[in-house]
Amino acid sequence: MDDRKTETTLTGRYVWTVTRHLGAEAGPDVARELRASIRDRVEAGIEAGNDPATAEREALTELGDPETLAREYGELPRHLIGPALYPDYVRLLRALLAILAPLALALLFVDRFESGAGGLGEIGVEAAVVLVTVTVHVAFWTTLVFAIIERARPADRRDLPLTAWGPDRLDVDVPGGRVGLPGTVARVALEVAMIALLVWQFSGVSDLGSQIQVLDPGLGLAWKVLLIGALAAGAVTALAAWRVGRWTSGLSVIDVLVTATGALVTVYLLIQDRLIVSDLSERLSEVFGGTIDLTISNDLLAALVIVIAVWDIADRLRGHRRDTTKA
Amino acid sequence: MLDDERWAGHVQELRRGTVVLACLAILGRPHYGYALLETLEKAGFSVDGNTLYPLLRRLEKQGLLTSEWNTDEARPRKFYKVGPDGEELRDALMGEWRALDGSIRALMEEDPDGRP
Repeated sequence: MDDRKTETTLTGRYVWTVTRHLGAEAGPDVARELRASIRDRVEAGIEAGNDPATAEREALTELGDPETLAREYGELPRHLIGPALYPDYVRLLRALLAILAPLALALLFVDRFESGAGGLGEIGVEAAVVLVTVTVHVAFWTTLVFAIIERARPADRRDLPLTAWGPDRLDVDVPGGRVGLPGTVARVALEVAMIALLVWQFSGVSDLGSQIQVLDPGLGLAWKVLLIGALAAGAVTALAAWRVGRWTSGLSVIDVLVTATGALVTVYLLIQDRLIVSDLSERLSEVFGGTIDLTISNDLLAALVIVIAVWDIADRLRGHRRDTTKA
Repeated sequence: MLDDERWAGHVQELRRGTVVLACLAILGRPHYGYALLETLEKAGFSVDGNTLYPLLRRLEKQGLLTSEWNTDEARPRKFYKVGPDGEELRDALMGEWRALDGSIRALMEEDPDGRP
């Protein structure tokens, strides 16, 4: 007779819950022993002056959740992902999200850019949906894989990490590190190039037959100065950070304000249809020949500008927080 | 002064590692689960049944304990006893225990107030 099967007393139901998944070899033996142990405990309770029903309840309450006990007997983990795997799990999760979330957003923008459809609000909602979907999928599948690994490993190896750690894996990017020259040069060069491009475009191209007028030279002087000024201020701030050696709180605030100003002005002008010339398609056709139909959605460009600006600002704030919490 | 809960936590942590040694020491003579639990409790090792019973089976699986069903009495009970490997482990753990005791004593005598 299988000792796990039993009458429907509390003890019987308890023993069955503990032993039902333990297999035909160990299960009945554990059941028989556990029932004897419970009976011993119940008798001790009765001797101490309790009635049998109370003594039984006490004995079972003391043993606790039968699922927990079943996992103890079955040597199964009582956690989804244990402390040994957890660092690897978090590392992989972060790496996957850092790669896949921007990639999915970029693909979405390229797709909407090509089809030229959708307003700013629509694209914003779509981007949010894409981000949530990617995050949920990455989190779910990574968690599932690690939970399976945790359960597939032998019980005596559960304290070991998946990958051995060595000093080579230490983070290179630590607080107190100096602002590097290559990064500063790259950023200043980019901003100077942008300024040159804007000055050239805003002053009106000289030869409409071979050069393309993309930005509207008729834009008010104040707007032109604001856009170019934001870029120039960004370059100066980057140079200052390099001189000082790090991004101080003040420099970080200036950088965030400059980035935000440039982005807001650009978005405002794009939405107002004042930044880009209205006859861009015809001008392109004129220069390259044939008929080019380039219906770029201003809203889409605005969305791109916002995403890039938010990215920049988040990067700056994160770098600043890291530098100020070195303690 | 530590609050009671944290105090108890540290004491429990220290004792937890000694439960196996205590079991091996008691099980020189055969005991069944509940009797072992009571003996441990009287000796000051507050271990719960839901920890002890699975632990006994694990030690048996590792070949440290042997077990036998005793059906002579009115109710059958499973008795555990230390096997040859278990005796060896018990002596080794006992040696560790004495070595630790000696080390801690030496540290305390070197620096009775615990101050640098």
